[in-house]
Amino acid sequence: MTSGARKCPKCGAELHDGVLGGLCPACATRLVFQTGGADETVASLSADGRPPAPADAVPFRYFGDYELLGEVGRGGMGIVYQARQLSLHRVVALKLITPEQLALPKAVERFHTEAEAAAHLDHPNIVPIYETGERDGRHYFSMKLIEGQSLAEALADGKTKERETWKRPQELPFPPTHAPTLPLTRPSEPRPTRFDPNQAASLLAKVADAVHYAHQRGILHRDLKPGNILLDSAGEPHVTYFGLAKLVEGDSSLTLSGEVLGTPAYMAPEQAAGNAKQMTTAADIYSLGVILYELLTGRTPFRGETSVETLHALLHTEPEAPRSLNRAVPRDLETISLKCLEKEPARRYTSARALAEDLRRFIGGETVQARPLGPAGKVWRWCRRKPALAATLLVLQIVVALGLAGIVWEWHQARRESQRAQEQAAIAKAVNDILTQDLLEQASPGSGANAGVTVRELLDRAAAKVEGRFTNQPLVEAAVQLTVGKTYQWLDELDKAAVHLERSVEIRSHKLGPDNPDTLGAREELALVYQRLPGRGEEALRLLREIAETDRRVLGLDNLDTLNCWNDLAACYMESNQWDKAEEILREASKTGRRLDGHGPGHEQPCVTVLRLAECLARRGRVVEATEMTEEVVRAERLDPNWSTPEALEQLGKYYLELGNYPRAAELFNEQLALVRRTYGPRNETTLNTMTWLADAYGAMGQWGHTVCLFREATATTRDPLVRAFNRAPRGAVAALLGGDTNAFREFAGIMVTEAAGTTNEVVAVNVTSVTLLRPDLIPDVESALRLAASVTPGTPGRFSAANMVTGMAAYRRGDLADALKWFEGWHHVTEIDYGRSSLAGCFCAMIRFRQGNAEDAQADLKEAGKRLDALIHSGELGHKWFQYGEAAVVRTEAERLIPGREVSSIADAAWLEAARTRWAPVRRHLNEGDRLGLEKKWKAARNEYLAAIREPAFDWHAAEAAWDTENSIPATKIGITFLLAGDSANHEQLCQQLFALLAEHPNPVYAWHVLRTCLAGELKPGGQLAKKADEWAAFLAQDPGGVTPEAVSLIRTMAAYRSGRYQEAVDAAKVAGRLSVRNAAQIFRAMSLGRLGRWEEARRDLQQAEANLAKPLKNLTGDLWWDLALCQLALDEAHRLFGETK
Amino acid sequence: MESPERQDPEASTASRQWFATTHWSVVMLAGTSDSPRALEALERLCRAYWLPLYSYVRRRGYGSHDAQDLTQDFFVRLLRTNSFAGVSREKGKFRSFLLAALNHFLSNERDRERAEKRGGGQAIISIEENEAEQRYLQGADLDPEPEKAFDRRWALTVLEQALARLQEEYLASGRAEIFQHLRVYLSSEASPGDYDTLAPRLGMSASAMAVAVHRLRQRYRECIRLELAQTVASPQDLEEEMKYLFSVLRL
Repeated sequence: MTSGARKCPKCGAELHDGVLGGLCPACATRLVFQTGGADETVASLSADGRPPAPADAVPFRYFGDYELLGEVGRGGMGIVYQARQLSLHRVVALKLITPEQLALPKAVERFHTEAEAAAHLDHPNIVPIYETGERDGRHYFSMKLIEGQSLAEALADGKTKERETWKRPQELPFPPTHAPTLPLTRPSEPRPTRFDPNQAASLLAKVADAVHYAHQRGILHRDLKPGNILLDSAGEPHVTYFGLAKLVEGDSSLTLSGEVLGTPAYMAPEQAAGNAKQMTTAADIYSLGVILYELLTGRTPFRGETSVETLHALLHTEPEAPRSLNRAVPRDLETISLKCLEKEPARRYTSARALAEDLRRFIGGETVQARPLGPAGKVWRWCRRKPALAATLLVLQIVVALGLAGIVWEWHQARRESQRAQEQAAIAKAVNDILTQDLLEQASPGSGANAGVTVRELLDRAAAKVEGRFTNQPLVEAAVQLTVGKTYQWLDELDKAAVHLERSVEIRSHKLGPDNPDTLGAREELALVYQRLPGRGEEALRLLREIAETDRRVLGLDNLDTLNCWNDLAACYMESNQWDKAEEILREASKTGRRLDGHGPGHEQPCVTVLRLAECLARRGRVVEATEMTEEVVRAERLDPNWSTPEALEQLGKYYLELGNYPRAAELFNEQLALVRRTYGPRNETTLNTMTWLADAYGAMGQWGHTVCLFREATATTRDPLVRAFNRAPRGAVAALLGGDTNAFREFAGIMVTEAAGTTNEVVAVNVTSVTLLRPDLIPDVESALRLAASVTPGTPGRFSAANMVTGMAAYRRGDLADALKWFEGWHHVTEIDYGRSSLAGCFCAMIRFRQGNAEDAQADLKEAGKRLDALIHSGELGHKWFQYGEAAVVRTEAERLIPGREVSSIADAAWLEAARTRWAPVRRHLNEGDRLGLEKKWKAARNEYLAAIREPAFDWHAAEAAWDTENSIPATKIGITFLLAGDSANHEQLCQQLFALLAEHPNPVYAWHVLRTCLAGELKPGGQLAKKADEWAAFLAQDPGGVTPEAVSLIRTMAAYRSGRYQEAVDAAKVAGRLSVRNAAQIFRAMSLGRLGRWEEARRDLQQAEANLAKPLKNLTGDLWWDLALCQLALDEAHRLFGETK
Repeated sequence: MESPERQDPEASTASRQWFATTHWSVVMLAGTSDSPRALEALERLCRAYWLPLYSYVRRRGYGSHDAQDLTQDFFVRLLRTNSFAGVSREKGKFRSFLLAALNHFLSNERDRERAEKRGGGQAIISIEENEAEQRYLQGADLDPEPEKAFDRRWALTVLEQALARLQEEYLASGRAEIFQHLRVYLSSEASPGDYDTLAPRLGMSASAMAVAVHRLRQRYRECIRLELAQTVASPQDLEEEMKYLFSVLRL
């Protein structure tokens, strides 16, 4: 195909084969977005209301009781069909809702509730809803079919009508030809359609009546616009979609992240800035005003090129007077429409009926009640210079981000009490104003200095303006002070919060009286701030007690506000450790709670009471009781989750951790995590805390992989660098060490060192260094870690504080043994410190003593420290202490590597592993079985078990490395020996290759000793690859024996020399000394070397001696020792073969 | 964590979870382009969206060779190093990010010796010389304003990616022929009698064909949303982006 240009037959656009395969992009998009389940976006983009239906086939003919006859319209929530209801033989309008619109169960529920309510509306100007339901997963409702057109259509195609209806001879100031005065600024616009003022007034009066009728029944329309008003053939208006429009289009239509920008043309400012769910009747009245305005002038009052501009205009400018657009508009009608369009809800008509009545007054020639604004009224106007869009959006975000729950709540209230509504709305508006205007002013990008302004600074500036600004409106000031105070509270600026809240309380007490619910509310906020302020706990308690008493007196005992206050009071007592008092109050409150258990806002308070009571019990050691109590709450809340549900799950999880039931705890934390991730988002502090709890549960189970993963995620998402550095990363690092994942350790250590560099916060320094100094060999910059440790101020030696531990560790790492000892000495006399820290100190003490040449004391220290560490495992406190265990266990490993002759457990202690590592269960099963078979000398069967263990997916050598840390439990060596015993040299060779690779990764003498012994036990080919490797590593070991004994080193040297054919060297290196197995092996290898050199006599003597030694019965042979002897046996067999051959 | 903040628990869950895996959200989540998954996702996006950038650079007045080099260099920088860390990803949209990053790049580039830095760059996104210029020229109706040219190209790319996805789906399910014959109805209504003549050739009834066209359009719509969704990180952003797409296409 050539790429010649063609034109789209439909829109005339140029088409290219290389662009969208020659299709017309605009037409394609338009067409597909009009097809089935029309997208709201396009619907709202083409004229307002219902776009003309394309001649599209009905997708199916029958839908339940309905026969679809044809499509009559489409809107935001789906397609409307003309349909015949078969059972009732009537033709109806059937609206099928697009499935996505009701994706959430809650939305479905609300839809049906509202639709049912709307179905009860029986008014001549409301389109009646006949039926709502669901069929095949599609929700629908049917309503009366109105034959005619919508008001939007009438406005859109009314050019001819305009001439017909545009007359009002008695008052027309200009001849009809001049009548359609167009705004000069927009000369290119199509001529707008307008209605005759009388006709418009009478039409709108009917609509307003209908709206008022619905309002009286508690139903708001929420989306009044010409598209939702249908005109029948007689021109009578019928309002449709009462209560349903916004509902079905989803809550999204009013979020600030974009959807607010939908069709703001008919939206009230408070609706555009706030929350659709909290709307009042005033918003509907505003929309009626817009419709009236449009009927009169042919356009809506606020328009912009984009929705953002419209929104901006809506919020920040006053509408042009209708008479400036059309001189023919009567002054009274202009006044009426502008009264509806007041930005302040309270300044609009108090009800839709009031509007209808004023409209009728106008029609009847009476004086209307609405008055044009005087200068005083204009004070409240938003006469602002035009700020940039970015600033507007920023401010809206701030306003919403700060919640302003109070205001929303007050709007909500306003819906119920119409008298109070005006006051409240005025207050709400004022609060909104100060935040919006003052913050807006500050944030205006016009002043470049504001680039880095924080919310805190903005709030400071706004707060400074409150004083003296509301001299005549004390209640407004009180509300503003309350909001500012609460915002400071959220920002943790408690001192400032207190100042503003105090002022609010003062004003309200003075104006409303001390017992007024508003006053009490402000006082309670103040009390909660006091509670968190140091030294003001008593005051908080006193305040809360007073409020609780007043609540009980004024609101009664069985009241959620009362209960809420009692809960707060109890929490306050708990905070100050007055458990008896707290329990007493909570027990009393829980009785109330049981009576109140209901629904609606605040219905979680009874649950909160029980949760606090359980916490009270748990803190005093009655964990089992607390657990049962909390289980009940969790069961109930699972059915009906509320904001306290995560708290309940967390509390219960913690109890199970305390009770040692880690799997159950993990289950609960998992559930909580899913919940909070969903509600609060992944980066929220609550979510991250939950992750930490879950990680703890996994840690207690020894599932290090999970633990590391969770901490990795939590560390990555934690915003505060210091929290990252001193809380999450250290725990992740220790888990990584326990799991043998040194890479992960490096990763965490890197984060810690970077974030904590230069910190002056000692807590951070202690947390970071106590972990990084556990493995100085794995961190990149030991010097900076030591510097950080030096910044910690230690206490007196002999007190085992965290700061002292870190100071001691740093001294040890610097090599200053004497100084280090000062901090660790005397550790076993201290009983009050926990096992983790005491064994940590013990292990350091042991290492210091050993390096000072005092091996005996070192052994004793290490043994005792090990005992305490074991005790920690069995204490059932790992849920809270796995971290301490981990720190100490890592140091113990180091000590055991350093100090020879220790034959105790390692990190991979059997009890630990078996109890905790369910993931490792199959591996362990095979290894254990192999050990058992090995002990019974069933080599082949043992080998098979070991092979099976290695082949388990869960098996990995890195994890096994943890088990290599002491001489007792060395799977790789055992496995290697078994291969040889079973005559399986191929697998032995492969294993050795693998072990050398690991060794290269973790060069370490003890490690090398085990690998070499395992490898050299095989009859390696002299000069072969393995023999060479072994030789190299033997040299490494000889150079740096670390914790390996000289006898062991010489055994390795002997074996390596022998395998490489350097027999004289082997004989020279051999030292027949040390432990039984080492001694014997050395003797056998010397014998073989001597034989190779032809010195048979000496050789035979050595061999006989070794044989005799090995024949002696051994005591206490355990699974851990058989392979030690087996090594000797292997060597002996080899020697026999050699001697037999050469005899 | 004594008392969790009160928040509206009704926020959508399923969709948010889904959005967690869009290409752009993966990139955003990573924060830097160091993680392999993020890099892969970013690369996938860049591969798809190079033409809008190229068009933008051309409209900024660079010749075709320079524009190719620059676009190429830009991608290399974008994918190789995290040199755009300063460009905010908080806006939530790939489109905005891409343009901001490119502008950042171009303004730095102006002050720099270009020859010096071009040496090391390896081709990551392959821009065939001819193809680039040819496809660029095919948008001869592009707005002379660089931003608008970019937006239009971007919109077309979205539509093209979606069309490719749609075609792939039809191919995969063995309906290549149907797609071939029906695709024209993606952008135009059938004339009366169209279905009657075409349907027998495809072995279906006229009404079945009407349904098939309906479904094709419906699926294309979904594909467009899916494609667009890959470039944003939240449902809200998607809705905004949809609206933007329409406005760019002057709908």
